[in-house]
Amino acid sequence: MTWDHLIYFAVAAAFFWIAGSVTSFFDRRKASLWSLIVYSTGIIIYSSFIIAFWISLKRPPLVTMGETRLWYSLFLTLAGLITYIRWKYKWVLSLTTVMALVFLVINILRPEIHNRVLMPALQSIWFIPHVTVYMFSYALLACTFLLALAGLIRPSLNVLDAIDKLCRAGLSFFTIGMLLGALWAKQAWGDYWSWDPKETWAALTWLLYVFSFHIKNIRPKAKKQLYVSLIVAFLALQICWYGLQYLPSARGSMHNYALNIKR
Amino acid sequence: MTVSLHLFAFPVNLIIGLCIVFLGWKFRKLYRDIYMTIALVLLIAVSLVQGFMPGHVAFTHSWPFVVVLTVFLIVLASRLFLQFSLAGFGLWLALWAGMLGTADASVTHIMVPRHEYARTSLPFTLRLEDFRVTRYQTGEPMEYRAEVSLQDMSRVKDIPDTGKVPPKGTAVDSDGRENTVLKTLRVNHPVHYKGHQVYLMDYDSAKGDMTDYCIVMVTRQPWRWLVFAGILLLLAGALKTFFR
Repeated sequence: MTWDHLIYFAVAAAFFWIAGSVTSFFDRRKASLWSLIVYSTGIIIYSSFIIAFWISLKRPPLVTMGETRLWYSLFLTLAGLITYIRWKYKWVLSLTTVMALVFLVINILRPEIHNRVLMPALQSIWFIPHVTVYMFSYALLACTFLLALAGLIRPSLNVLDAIDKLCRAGLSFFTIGMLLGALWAKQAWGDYWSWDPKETWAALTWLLYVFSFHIKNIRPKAKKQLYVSLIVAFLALQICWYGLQYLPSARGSMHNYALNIKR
Repeated sequence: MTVSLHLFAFPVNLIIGLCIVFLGWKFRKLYRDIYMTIALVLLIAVSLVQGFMPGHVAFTHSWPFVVVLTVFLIVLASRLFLQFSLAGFGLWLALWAGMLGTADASVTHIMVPRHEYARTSLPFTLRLEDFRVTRYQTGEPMEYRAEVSLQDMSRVKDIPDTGKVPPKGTAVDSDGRENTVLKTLRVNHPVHYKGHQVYLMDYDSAKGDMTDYCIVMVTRQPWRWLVFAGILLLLAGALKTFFR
């Protein structure tokens, strides 16, 4: 099994993922068993490629950039499936399908990343869970941002319930991603938390979302303040995610793997 | 403005920690949302300052930051006394032990030479035995691997320094017990030795495998188990929130 075979598995998996996402909209009341079966079939097809690839490589496919991206798609679809089973949201399967397909398409269209190697600092058991959990939380929190914008523009819309559940899931995953990072940091850098710029902005983002929760609890009627606090929190998330490189404070960040070769 | 950490070394930090718990219990009326809002806003404000500071300015070690964090811990403690929550307690424990433990923690960077033991102020010393860089076909590094001997200094004090290079491998001291161990250091794989953690940080990249030294970071964090427990509890709390 080589990279050349990926496209066949990807097309088959994408077919089942899209079919599962579409059928999940049909059943109005509960999680559709058919969508679950179809979507899981996609995951099984996709994971069988990873397993076969693993066997033919004779090592876990965890080393190059391309190999890492393979796991992103797997974990995103798994997270989507779990969230769907848990909360029966119709949109969640479509969201994770789109995200998983983005990484798959990148992997197929840019073969040069297949052998783009992973430096020793990133070769850790924590790497993939840390990144995929964060990705999923970013996606959920992005949804709350869009809902908050919609609520701000058209106050007649009732988005509070959806925001509440999305925020709960998004912040849970964000917390888990952050803590997995802390456990990794102890192994790699010697301390759980060292107020590296990326860590500082992750803490800020986390605090701002906690603050939103707080506003919602103490002033349930203050919709506008909730929307604004969610938008501010999402802006902090953008700085944490990719905006950091434009801040002078982040030049020495240990998370800047493009600059630091040996870390 | 920087906090002098040595003033807070054990047992001062533990006493302060207990005071935080006591204050949280004594002023249980601080559980009210208004105080939590103030504490949160203050914490966001000081984090924001750190967020815009250049990396080398450790605002988190300054008085304003530490005071705000302490206030936050007191308010959170008072809320936990009123209504316990797993995530809240995990967060509180990790922050409490993280903040107080800093005073007892130490970080030392040591240049470990190949042919002699490094001079250190630690209870042990190190010597580089072998260094290997494995590369991908592209020439980029895949793995750095340093074999180092660690020698327990508390057990070799009586042996006179003959100036000779000690033999490689496992050595035995006068009472026949091992005082030297051979360990492998890799990135992301620190070595634990005598309450310390040893991390591989750097080497002479111009010389590659033939490097004359490697640089290691040695940390000691006696409070790290409490931080670890706090992180696990917060993780459990986050999972609980998700599945509720």
